[in-house]
Amino acid sequence: MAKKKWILAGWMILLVALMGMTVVGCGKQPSSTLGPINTGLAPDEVDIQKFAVLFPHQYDSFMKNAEMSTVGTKYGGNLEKDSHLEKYPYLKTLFAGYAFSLEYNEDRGHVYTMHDLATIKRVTSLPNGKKQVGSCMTCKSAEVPGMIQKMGLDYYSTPVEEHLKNMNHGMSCSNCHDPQTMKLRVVQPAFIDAMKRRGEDVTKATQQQLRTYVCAQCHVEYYFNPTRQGEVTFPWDKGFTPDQMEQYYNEIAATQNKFTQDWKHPLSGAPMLKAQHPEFETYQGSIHQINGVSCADCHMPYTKEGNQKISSHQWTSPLKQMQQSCTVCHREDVDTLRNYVISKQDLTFEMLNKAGSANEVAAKSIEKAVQAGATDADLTEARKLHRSAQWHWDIVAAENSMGFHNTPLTMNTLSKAIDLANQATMAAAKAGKFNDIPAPTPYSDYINERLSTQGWPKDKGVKMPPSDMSWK
Amino acid sequence: MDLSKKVKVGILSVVILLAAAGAATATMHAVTHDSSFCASCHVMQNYMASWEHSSHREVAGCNDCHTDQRNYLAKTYSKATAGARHAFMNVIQPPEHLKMVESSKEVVQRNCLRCHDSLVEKTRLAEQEAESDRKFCFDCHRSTPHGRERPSPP
Ligand code: HEC
Ligand code: HEC
Ligand code: HEC
Ligand code: HEC
Ligand code: HEC
Ligand code: HEC
Ligand code: HEC
Ligand code: HEC
Repeated sequence: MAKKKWILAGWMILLVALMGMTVVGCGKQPSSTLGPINTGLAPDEVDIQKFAVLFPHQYDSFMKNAEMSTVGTKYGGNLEKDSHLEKYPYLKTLFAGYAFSLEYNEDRGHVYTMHDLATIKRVTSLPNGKKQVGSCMTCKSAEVPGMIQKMGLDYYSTPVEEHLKNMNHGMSCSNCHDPQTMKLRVVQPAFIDAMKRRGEDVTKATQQQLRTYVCAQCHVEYYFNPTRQGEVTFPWDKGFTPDQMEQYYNEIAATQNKFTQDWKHPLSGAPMLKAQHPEFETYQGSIHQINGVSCADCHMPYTKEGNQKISSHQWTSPLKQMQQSCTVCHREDVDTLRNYVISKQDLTFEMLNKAGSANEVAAKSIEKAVQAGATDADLTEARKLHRSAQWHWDIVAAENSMGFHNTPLTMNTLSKAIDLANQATMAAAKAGKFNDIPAPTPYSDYINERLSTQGWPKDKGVKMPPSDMSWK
Repeated sequence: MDLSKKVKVGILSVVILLAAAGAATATMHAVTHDSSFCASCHVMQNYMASWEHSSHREVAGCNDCHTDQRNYLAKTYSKATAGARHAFMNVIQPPEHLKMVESSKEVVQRNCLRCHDSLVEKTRLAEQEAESDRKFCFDCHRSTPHGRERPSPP
């Protein structure tokens, strides 16, 4: 029986050898090193300095949002009080009778949210001593979700002035991160509710979705719901396109929530809608969105700190950092791609101004019809058209990428704006029985020249030191 | 022949078979190890060409990215299954455009991480059990290493 033992032994050796090969064959394996983080911070921590100690790279990157410059961008960049009212001469007519005709500026870095809120004329200088409501602050500070929890709907109706006295923090890490685990999360009640009405539970969103959703907490269209003390509400029940949101306003907001208008236009008498920064909505259906590219891919590209990658926390125009933001995916050289983007923005800008001027003509025509004796009944149609025309213009004007995020949709929306505005003008002329149509405010030679030669930002290509961030 | 003899012969033949298979596997790995092997098929030549011009030419061959490198068995399995599919398709009807199948993506992703994990370890890119809609390294590094233009083979 000795032989059998040998054979058995042979088998064992073979087995061991095979297993050995399996083990030796192991090359260096990736070790999953991003284990669960535990910061030891309170679950409702908002103080950015507490995070700074733990994540110095991300904090330093965050503080770069203070850097002021327009390098490499024609329509965006980080600028202080870069006035829309100056750039678009028709704007004062379009926003007549509304706070946006007092002061309206290009957006800038996240470190300035509270300073800009506390100093803008729409908050400080409302006519007749009116006080701006707390709703406006909803997207400016990390303290807000906690305040809403504590105060309920009273948070929204309390004047900004009152709130400012008790607040110490602007935007912070906790707007997007769970302070204990640093996992991405959303905290904005308006966003969570709006997505719930669409049948999606965003508190269970995947990490990849959150790379867009954290931004969609604020970079979206909204209104103040009058039946709930001005609660911030997103109009997405019917969809994200300008037409679907308009339909929501006309059919749901107007009836269920008694929200019929943002203000009444003093020239045309139409009940108007004001659009606000609809970056998230505009992005839907774009070439990048359908390819799964997130806001963070372009606006928070990976950068190298030493021999570590981190996500950039300097949110600004990606055209300033195309090497990181675009050319990992795109192989065109940076200048070719930038010129292409700017040429698309130029096309958008031209159409935007045509649509803006067409709306100005519509408003003035309706005013003229009133002066010529047309009655409210005669003007119902013209007013309806003006409201819709200006909405279509504004949803593009208020968007911050000058058409880049979704150029085909943007162009489609602007052509509707022009068509609707012309229809409004014709309806007014018919009602007022006149045919000398009023002219829009011309661009001054000064503005024209600047726009055509170098773009609007006054300090093109200039970096500036951080400006005042305080608001107390 | 008595029973124990039958058993012995049986066992011996199994051992010989295994040895042969082992040698064949080793030979298979030796042959397929070299990147130029992959280009022996016409459809693969574009990928060879783009790789030759990439920054990875000196540091990573085809198999460093495309073969499951976790262990010898996995390596053999991934070569055998993918190899059989490629050979089969190559005979039946070589496709005009190639595209990685889903299981290949997981293999390549693991290999990117195998070499680069220290660079990305502080970000969620290093997460192994990621969600189904997560991004692969090459969703952003779209031209690593094959370049963006991948014309169909002539
Ligand atoms: C494919 C890359 C890309 C993606 C994805 C992207 N953006 Fe942008 N974004 C841009 C570019 C390019 C601009 C134009 C910058 C300019 O004109 O200088 C821009 C402009 C902006 C601006 C204005 C910046 C400024 O300088 O004033 C904001 C705000 C913004 N995007 C938010 C978002 C949000 C929110 C998302 C996700 C819903 C998003 N972006 C997705 C590329 C992108
Ligand atoms: C506007 C939203 C937002 C804010 C505010 C924000 N982050 Fe992030 N942060 C992100 C996103 C998006 C990522 C990418 C996460 C991912 O893909 O998993 C990220 C990633 C991180 C990571 C993971 C490593 C990396 O770089 O990818 C850390 C750590 C981090 N942030 C810390 C901070 C700190 C500290 C602050 C405050 C100073 C902060 N973040 C503020 C959105 C934000
Ligand atoms: C808590 C609300 C909030 C969140 C969340 C938020 N933003 Fe902002 N963002 C703002 C506000 C408010 C401004 C304008 C600040 C100002 O002008 O003072 C702004 C400005 C910007 C700008 C313009 C900066 C410039 O240089 O002109 C960009 C770009 C931007 N945000 C991108 C993003 C991206 C991308 C995300 C998601 C990762 C995001 N934001 C998340 C509120 C938010
Ligand atoms: C969301 C897009 C994105 C994803 C996904 C991504 N990267 Fe990157 N990666 C970048 C960007 C942007 C840079 C450039 C950073 C810089 O230049 O500062 C970069 C740089 C690199 C570099 C080069 C650093 C150098 O020395 O130039 C390596 C290596 C790298 N990434 C590996 C990986 C690996 C491995 C993965 C997958 C685990 C991955 N990347 C996933 C965007 C991405
Ligand atoms: C995560 C990868 C990714 C990043 C980052 C990215 N893109 Fe793209 N981009 C794509 C994909 C995918 C397409 C679809 C067409 C294609 O496959 O090339 C595309 C298409 C485009 C197009 C053509 C479609 C159009 O709208 O005209 C332009 C222009 C463009 N990208 C510009 C940019 C710019 C500018 C940036 C940086 C701010 C950028 N992209 C960043 C993946 C990306
Ligand atoms: C650095 C890692 C790496 C190396 C080395 C490498 N590849 Fe690839 N290969 C990739 C990635 C990543 C993709 C997927 C690209 C994509 O989906 O955009 C790919 C895709 C492919 C495809 C499928 C076609 C496609 O576009 O998806 C073929 C075929 C291929 N590689 C062959 C080869 C050959 C042959 C070699 C050696 C000459 C090689 N690869 C070397 C990473 C690599
Ligand atoms: C016998 C010819 C031949 C050889 C040798 C060959 N391939 Fe392929 N390969 C093909 C064909 C044909 C396809 C298309 C298969 C399909 O459509 O399913 C393909 C597809 C691929 C794909 C994309 C499909 C997938 O599996 O994800 C990759 C990656 C790839 N080959 C890598 C390699 C590598 C690496 C080598 C060298 C180790 C190699 N091939 C050797 C013929 C070959
Ligand atoms: C066998 C190891 C190995 C594998 C597998 C590998 N790399 Fe690399 N990679 C390297 C080395 C080595 C370098 C050059 C040295 C450096 O800069 O780290 C490099 C350089 C890079 C760079 C910077 C140079 C460039 O081409 O832009 C990027 C990005 C990169 N790798 C991404 C990837 C991606 C994505 C994958 C998976 C598809 C991958 N690597 C797979 C070893 C590897």
